[in-house]
Amino acid sequence: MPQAVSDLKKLGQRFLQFIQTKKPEDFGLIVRVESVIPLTKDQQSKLIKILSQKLKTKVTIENQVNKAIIGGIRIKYQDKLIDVSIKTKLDRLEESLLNE
Amino acid sequence: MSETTSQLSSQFKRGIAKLKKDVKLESAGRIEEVGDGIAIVSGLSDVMYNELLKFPQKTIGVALNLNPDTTGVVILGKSRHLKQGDIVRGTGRLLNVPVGENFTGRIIDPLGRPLDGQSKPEAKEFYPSERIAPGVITREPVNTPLQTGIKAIDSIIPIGRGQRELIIGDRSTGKSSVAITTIINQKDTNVVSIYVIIGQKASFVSRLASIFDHFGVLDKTIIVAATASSSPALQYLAPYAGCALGEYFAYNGKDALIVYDDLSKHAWAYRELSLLLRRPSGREAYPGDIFYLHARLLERAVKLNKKNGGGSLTALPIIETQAGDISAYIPTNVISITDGQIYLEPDLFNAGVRPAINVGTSVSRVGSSAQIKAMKQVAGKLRLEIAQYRELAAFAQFSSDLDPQTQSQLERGVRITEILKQGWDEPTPVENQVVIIWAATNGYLDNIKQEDIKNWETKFLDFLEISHPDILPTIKKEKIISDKLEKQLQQTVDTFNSINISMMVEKQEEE
Repeated sequence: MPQAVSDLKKLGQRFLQFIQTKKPEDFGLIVRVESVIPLTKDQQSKLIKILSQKLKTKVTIENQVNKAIIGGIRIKYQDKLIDVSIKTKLDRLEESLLNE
Repeated sequence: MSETTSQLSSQFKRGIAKLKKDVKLESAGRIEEVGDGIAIVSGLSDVMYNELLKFPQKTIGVALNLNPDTTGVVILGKSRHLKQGDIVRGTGRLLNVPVGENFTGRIIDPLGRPLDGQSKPEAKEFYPSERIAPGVITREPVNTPLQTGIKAIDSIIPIGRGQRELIIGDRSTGKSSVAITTIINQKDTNVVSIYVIIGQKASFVSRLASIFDHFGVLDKTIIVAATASSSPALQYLAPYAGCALGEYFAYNGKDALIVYDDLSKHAWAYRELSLLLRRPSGREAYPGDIFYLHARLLERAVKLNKKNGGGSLTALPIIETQAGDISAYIPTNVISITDGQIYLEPDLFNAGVRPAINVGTSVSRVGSSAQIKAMKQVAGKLRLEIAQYRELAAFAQFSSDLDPQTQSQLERGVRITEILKQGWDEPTPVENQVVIIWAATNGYLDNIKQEDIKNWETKFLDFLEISHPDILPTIKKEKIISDKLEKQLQQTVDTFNSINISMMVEKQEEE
């Protein structure tokens, strides 16, 4: 038991050391990108380049496959959303046609 | 055929062209919990109170609880398809409702969607559902009458344009009927009526529409319906949506009348929402802001001054009491907010006094400033006679032997009660009311048989129209009973009574 406790303590110290060497910027912003088929490495790096320029921070991409969006992509970070999926476009089209 | 196809395709092209520009940064959240028409949403860090939120599949919601990490949202409409993890988009707009002239003659739900099977009414503008009531500077005192066509109300408890008069009573005492008669009586006026239905039967909505249609007032009436089967969120929203419609007319210099039927059920719907949103509950499990809920709604009734167009919004809220208990929480709240109340009693209703208005407990705090001069001339005496009659009637129950003066006072009281009776479907024009009340208070009905009073009223008005066709229009135009007119009236009544001996009490003949 005491062994386990001291291990935990060590782990905690290591973690703190790790945290202290890093600045918040280094973690970057985690951006979730939904697409119908997985994004290629090339596409991902392009997206990272554009997004990090726009958002002025380091960006990490997390790709999720979502068949429901039909096509295009949906970019989510924090509580922001850039939705250029076909599904949403169709929904908007339907809405605007019904309102006319 | 080909024309419609080309029209359709051009519509599609326009729609698609619009979409191309439509890439923007949106505020988004995620459903954490959903159920009972309520969703708890995370994210949405810059959401506003009362902001319109978009859920998947064209479902919309309103942010009502703003907590540090989550937002409590009420969903307007169906919520079955929503699930945890769904995206919720902020719109950056407060909840607003479509308004405009095109809504008259229609039955709509609180979000302006048609319920009468016709096409969507075109909105002139969008008004916020919640709006701060007009300030002191823009208002003026209530000075124009809103004729209800009900003798007991127009004479004793007059309602002015811009006033808030509560209609209160037990179930089935004719509360809605008072409001319906009032709307029917607006047929020849420029008043636009809005009837807000909260938590009532759906059959009532269709009956209401057919009644208005039958009396030819549907084309200047809007029915906003959130029936018992609507979600509590829609029921909560209904009066505010109706009020926004009324404000559109009032702010454009017109006169509008709005009926909230009824606010007890509105309070129940709000209690339900508040409990589901886990807001702390207070007395009778109502949330702490239940008073403000109704105060902010009724404060939006207004009489604007000339500088601001001179429009008005008159509110007739309805409250249903349980077993005549007007000291319950919601009734006392609304009584204290409004400018008076019309109290309907089941005992009177069952005794055949319809409308079952208790003239003793009913008041109008605006008073006689909302009456035409002619009505003021006759109403003062009417009030006095009724007060004396009520006092004597209570006393007379115990004694069998009464002196002739008391006897005659009682007789007159009975006749006055009789003339104040009228069917819900027969609103009386104000000039006719004035003449009838004048005749009753001046003793011209004292010798008429009690069961013939009603008959006398209709026959006399017919007689008056034939023998002196100018009297009623003169009262309507000049709004006063001049000495000359009174003499004419006296002569006419005497002539009429001498012709119609059969209506007279027989005892009188023997003497």
